[in-house]
Amino acid sequence: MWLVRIVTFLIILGIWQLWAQHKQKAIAATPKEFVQAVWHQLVTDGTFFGPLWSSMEAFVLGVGLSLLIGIPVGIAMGRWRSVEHTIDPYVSFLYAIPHVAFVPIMIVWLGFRLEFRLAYVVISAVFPVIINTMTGVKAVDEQLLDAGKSFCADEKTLVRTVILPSASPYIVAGGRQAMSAAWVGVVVAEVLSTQDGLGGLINKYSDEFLTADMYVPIIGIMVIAVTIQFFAGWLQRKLTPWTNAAQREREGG
Amino acid sequence: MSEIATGASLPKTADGTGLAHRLRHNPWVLRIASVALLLIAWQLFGNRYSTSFPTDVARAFPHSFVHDVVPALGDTLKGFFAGFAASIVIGVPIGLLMARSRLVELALEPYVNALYATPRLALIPVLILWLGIDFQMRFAVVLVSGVFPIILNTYLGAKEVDRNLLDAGKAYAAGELQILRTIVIPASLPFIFAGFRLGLARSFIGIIVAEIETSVLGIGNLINQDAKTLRFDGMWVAIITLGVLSIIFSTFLKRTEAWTTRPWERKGMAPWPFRR
Amino acid sequence: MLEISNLTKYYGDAEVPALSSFNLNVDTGEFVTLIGPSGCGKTTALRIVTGLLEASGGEVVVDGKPSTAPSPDKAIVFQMFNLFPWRTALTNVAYGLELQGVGKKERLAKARQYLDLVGLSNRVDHYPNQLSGGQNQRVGLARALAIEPKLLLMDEPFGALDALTREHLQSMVAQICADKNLTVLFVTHSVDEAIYLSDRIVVMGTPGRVIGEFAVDLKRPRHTYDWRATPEYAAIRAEIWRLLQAELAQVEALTGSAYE
Repeated sequence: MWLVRIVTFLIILGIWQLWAQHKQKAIAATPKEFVQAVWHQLVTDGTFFGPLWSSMEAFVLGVGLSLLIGIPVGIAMGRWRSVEHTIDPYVSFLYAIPHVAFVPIMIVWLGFRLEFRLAYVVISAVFPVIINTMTGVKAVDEQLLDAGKSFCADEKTLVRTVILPSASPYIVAGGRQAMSAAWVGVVVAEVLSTQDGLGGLINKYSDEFLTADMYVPIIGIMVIAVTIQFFAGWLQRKLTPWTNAAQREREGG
Repeated sequence: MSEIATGASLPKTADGTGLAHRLRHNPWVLRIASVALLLIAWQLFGNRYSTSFPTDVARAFPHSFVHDVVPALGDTLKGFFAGFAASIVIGVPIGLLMARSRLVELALEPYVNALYATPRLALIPVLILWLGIDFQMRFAVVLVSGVFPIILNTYLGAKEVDRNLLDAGKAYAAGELQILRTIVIPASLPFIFAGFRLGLARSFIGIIVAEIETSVLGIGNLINQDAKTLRFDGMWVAIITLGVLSIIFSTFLKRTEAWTTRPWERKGMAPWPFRR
Repeated sequence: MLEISNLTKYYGDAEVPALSSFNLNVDTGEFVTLIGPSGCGKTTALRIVTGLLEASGGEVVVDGKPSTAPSPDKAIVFQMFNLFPWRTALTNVAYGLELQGVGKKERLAKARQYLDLVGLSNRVDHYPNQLSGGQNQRVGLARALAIEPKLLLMDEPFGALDALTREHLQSMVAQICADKNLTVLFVTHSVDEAIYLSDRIVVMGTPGRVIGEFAVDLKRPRHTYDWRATPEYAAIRAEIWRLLQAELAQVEALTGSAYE
């Protein structure tokens, strides 16, 4: 199995090398140049880490805020129809539209600093949380509520011991989607506006036609994206071990 | 009928079914009231220099829409449909191939996964560098955004086809192409359509992003320019149009998915194009 | 222990009641089964006694006190188990105790004790989706028993299980109820099950009234001999079937189908 993977990798590497040698320096970089650039940015100059930190800051804060806002709103919308109806025009509209459309106006309102990036990340990530949480709260099995009531659970206890645990797989799924969406949001905000973070790094090298250097943050972004996926899967397993999704993950699904 | 999932209740009015109570719980009244409230707040607290007013937007609508939004939208949609069609034509076969051939699966799966997870935005500067800022680049952006969800979902769906169904085909000596055509594809249609939906959303976002980045054509560019030149009323017209279009897109996809993928769950006859 | 007087229940705006003037007395230590075709009101009666449903009229008295809501002296075992999927077998069984404010060590110990009683001591940390149907229902039974209720209510508890598992659990329930001298109100539509388990069988018919009552004189414990071979069994069974068939015929004549 590994043989196939290694062979494919080498083939891709080979194609890359040939193609890059053909084109001008300004457009393409060879694998060798790429490796040199990696070495440079990560080891000798360490210029990679400042922007990395900046992007991660925006990401973590953004995800945190999205959960902080999204979960209570989702619960409220799930429990009370009137709240749901009041808020859902906004949720539907903002969820459907490409959030990028708001980038220009947000730059006008919030400038190019962290506030803008944070706000954009929250816009990208909060809706999966709200929608999934709301669905989860609504989907609580009547029978489980009966079981709770038959043991004399009052309203608050029902919420704590039945509704929230029952909805937690949905909430966690929402959190997973939020994490992926948040990372996309970080990158979008950075590439479109600023010199901050990894996205900003791409812009910087692109402006200076340093093609090999430009690949480094791009691959970095890719690696982080995949890492976030694995991390989110792990988190899902830890938080909701009883679900099929988590068990499938365990089996390497 | 309790409106609340858990049985908790809002304080009841003395007359439980009075007009006030009914209004308070009617979905459309609440939605319209909530949006109306927002518009009023916007009108009162907005200003010329950063948000514009609903009234200005309304006034600008006819002109803006016809002269700016529609042509821009035309440019956007041209690139979009071309690229998305290409994503389907390229993506579905690759996905099927990955599902049916262990070799291909092993070779391609890590890359497809990694590229699917990557924010396409990271790739746009590279695409700009390689393809310039014209139609080719926008086409490529849409293609790159849409093809990976389609490949992935097709692959996953085709892999999940019930063993028993495949056995039935083999028992009747079906060749590989026949199996694909008569078993694998119909069985994985829901997944393929899910892939289309995801691909569509991502491609649409991708092209808007590319437009904002490159400032040449299209509705993304329009929004960007209007914002930069502080013409917010025009900008809101474009944003609202974009939003409505997005909602129409996703609703359309959801409906067609139901019609075409599960004829045995349909009630009533399919609309003409889908009848056998 | 349990006195039901004149219990009546109308669902929504229905003209026909689900229960009409239903009366029943269950003595302490007695095992009474309600049996009847679907829609005869037996589950409705059980849910009212449990406190999950409100009666339209009539009264329920448990252990001398009026009963209108769930309370610690009653516990119910559901047909669909209704275990919390996010809790292990152990913490599911401990649920009732937890709600009563029993300390963690104490309630977990008690839960373990009851899981042992139903034969699941080596599965205490499994989740419901890792257990079979029969095992899940045993957890459900343990959960109800753990709060040591005065009245045990069982709503077709073996309906969702296969025949072999059902037999196994029936004898388990019979033994436990006898050992602990529990007062039980049991609902089923299996005549055999009713005869095997009960001291007394109450046959119900639509709409929600008693159409027959039988004392089951078969010697206890019933798992030690072939009770199906006894003449008493044949006699009771025949009687009950006759009643049920008459009832079904009547309903069919009135409405055009046996089950509404």
